[in-house]
Amino acid sequence: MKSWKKNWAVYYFVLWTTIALLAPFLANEVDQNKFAQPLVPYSQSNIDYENANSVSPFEVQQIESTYYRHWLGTDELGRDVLAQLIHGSRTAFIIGLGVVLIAGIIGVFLGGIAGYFGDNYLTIKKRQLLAAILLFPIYLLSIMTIIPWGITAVNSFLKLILLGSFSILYFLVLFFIGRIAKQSTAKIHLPIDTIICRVIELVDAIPLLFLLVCLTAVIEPSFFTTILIIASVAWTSIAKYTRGEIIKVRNENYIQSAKALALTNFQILRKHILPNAMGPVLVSLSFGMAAAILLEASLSFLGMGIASEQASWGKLIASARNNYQAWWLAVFPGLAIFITVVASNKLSELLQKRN
Amino acid sequence: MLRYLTKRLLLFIPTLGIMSFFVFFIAQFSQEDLLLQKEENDFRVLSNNTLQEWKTSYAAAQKLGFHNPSFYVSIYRTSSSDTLNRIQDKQIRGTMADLGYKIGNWEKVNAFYGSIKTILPSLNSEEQQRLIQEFQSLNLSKSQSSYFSQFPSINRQFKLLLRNNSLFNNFIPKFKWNGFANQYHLWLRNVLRGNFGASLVDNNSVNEKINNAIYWTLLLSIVSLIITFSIAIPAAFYSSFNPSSLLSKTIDKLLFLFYAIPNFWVATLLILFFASGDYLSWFPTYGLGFMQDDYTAWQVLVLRIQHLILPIIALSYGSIAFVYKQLKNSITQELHKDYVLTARAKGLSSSAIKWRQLFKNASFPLITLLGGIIPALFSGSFIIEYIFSIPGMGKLSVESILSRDFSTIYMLLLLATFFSMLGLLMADLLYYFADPRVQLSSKNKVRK
Repeated sequence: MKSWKKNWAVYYFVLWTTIALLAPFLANEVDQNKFAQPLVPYSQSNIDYENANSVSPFEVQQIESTYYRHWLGTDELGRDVLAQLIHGSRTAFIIGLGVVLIAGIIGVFLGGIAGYFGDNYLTIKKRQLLAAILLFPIYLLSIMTIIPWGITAVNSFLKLILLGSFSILYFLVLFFIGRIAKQSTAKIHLPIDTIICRVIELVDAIPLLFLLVCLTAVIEPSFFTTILIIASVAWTSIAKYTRGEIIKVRNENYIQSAKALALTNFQILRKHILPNAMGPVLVSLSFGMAAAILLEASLSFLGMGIASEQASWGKLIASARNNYQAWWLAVFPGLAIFITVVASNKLSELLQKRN
Repeated sequence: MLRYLTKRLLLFIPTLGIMSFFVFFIAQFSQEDLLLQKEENDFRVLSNNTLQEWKTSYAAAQKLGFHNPSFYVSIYRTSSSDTLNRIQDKQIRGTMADLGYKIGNWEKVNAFYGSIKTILPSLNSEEQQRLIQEFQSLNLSKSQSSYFSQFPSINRQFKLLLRNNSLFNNFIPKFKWNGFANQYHLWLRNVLRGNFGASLVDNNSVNEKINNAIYWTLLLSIVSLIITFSIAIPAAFYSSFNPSSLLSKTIDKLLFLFYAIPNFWVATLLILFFASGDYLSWFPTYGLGFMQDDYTAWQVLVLRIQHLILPIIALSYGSIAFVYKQLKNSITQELHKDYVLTARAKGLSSSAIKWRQLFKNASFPLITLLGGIIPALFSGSFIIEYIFSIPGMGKLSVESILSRDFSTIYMLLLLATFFSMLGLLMADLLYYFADPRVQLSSKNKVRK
């Protein structure tokens, strides 16, 4: 516990989270009716016309009092850099956390299955395989025709939910067919490890940024879709890591004894394997967080990030490219990204040491 | 060995197939109208005459093959049609799809659209605009029905639309076999013949574009690779043999920080402080410089170095940190193994141990890295090339994605996939040569 208290990264994360959660209260327009005033009297999109055209933090500013001073300068339009930094930390926080959540779920699930079952231990009943093959066209048809693709009148979120529920339904049906079938029916080994590894190889075969940028060209970028897009490539490293860890744990003696005790696969996975493999997996999640923040910043830098209203660190750096005199536009957000990524790496080192 | 190689090479085919499929359908779902892209550059006749515009755009679509169905089989709702892609106006296409979904009867929708199309030529351009606008914002309301009532033939179809709706059709799938005259097949045939088509944006051949771009990317990445290895390898050896020295501690700390600095930030700062002229102007900000005819080889070299030095720094510092970290970990692990002790006991010199024994065994992370570098050699760095505007593969990718130039994107993505699979294969072979204990099997698993 001592090393935790000593480490600056932990404190930084607490600070970052607080700023991200309280961003609308920390930096917002002044509202005289309210009881308390924000720390920074500008919101992310508030334009101060008097101090437009990138005013430096050290320059004389056209302000009423020191309370209204732009401590970190303004950008070309006259928006406060500090306010944008604060709101950008919110963006980074939401994206980082969202990606880690979604990519973590996919990665841990697929990597876990691949690592635990390998090529030889996942057996399915012949009837299940038959049902899977027979039902697949029906599944494909239903997701292609019942889900209203191309209909603008239907919300795209609803389409995704429909897609998800059809897929879950498909697997549930297969699961229950397996339950109903007799124990004695013939079984087939499913080379699940090879299949998942091939999929990972396929996703990794495309340069990361290329895939991301391609997807952003097609999908309207919002918070939710940006998270989904980044998660759709970020899960592979988590899956690889989880797979490796679980293979290590799988061959331990206590797992063999658990098997001998006739515990079900699910019980073994949940009670014995996941808790023991979780530490290293947390490390990879923490790395994934840093990667997601970097990717979001890169996307925003290229002008393909989230919607134009929302401030982002990457966007702020990109705005420095219009006016190279304005060093404060590049230096501060870059520092923010840098410190967050270093803290995230430091945290994963700390986690690594604990294991 | 040969069997293994053929197996691995054969595996390329399905992967590339899946990838081509994937990109093709991304393009199909693209909200941007592909044709519009092309039209804006050469076909579109700016006029108020919508009908004329539709005709030219259909002619253009035919020229590009966009009027063909997209795949061998079409699967679609009974309330919709597989020939929707022949309607070139994106908004009208959307309206038709929505209408089919609301009404549930494609014949009625089509008849309604037909009645509008037959009326259109007899109207003047203002009335045409109005009618098309009404159709685009069709919501089956009372106010619209009063508007349509001035055209008897349209009104009849409009009334029909509101009657006997069979929404059940939305859930009944329909199939159609399209034969080989589909967009995917035609595109694939061209690609297999080595004809990558023309760019949708500027009509230049994609082959030529890629040929021009690959030179600069290769130059940049090879130089940065050489710099990376020549700095990182000695540094890693030094600091793992002298772990307590001040220098190696500084290197350690410094490179740990380097690893976390985003490269686009470094690139921006480099330009800001060393090139923009506001602080220092030692280097040009971007591009490759203008070369005059009478330049000597020496002058050309100086010009190139001047322009490429900042991008190479921005490209290399991160990989130096990465290689250093990996190599140092692996050397430290090897250092305490018995064979090193044996070698020392035999009286081998320290440098012989380093380079002949340790390096060979510690080079596994380098091989993994090389496998990853091969695709990067060819696809280049998006952000660095974009920032310094170097006309390489990375910049080409960003530009073609931003302008939705799908015929270029297809090829870039297929090339990237090909090279990264080649990289994986090379890495596996190198592992085999570095350590004969490694078994080659086509079931080789993903490494961490």
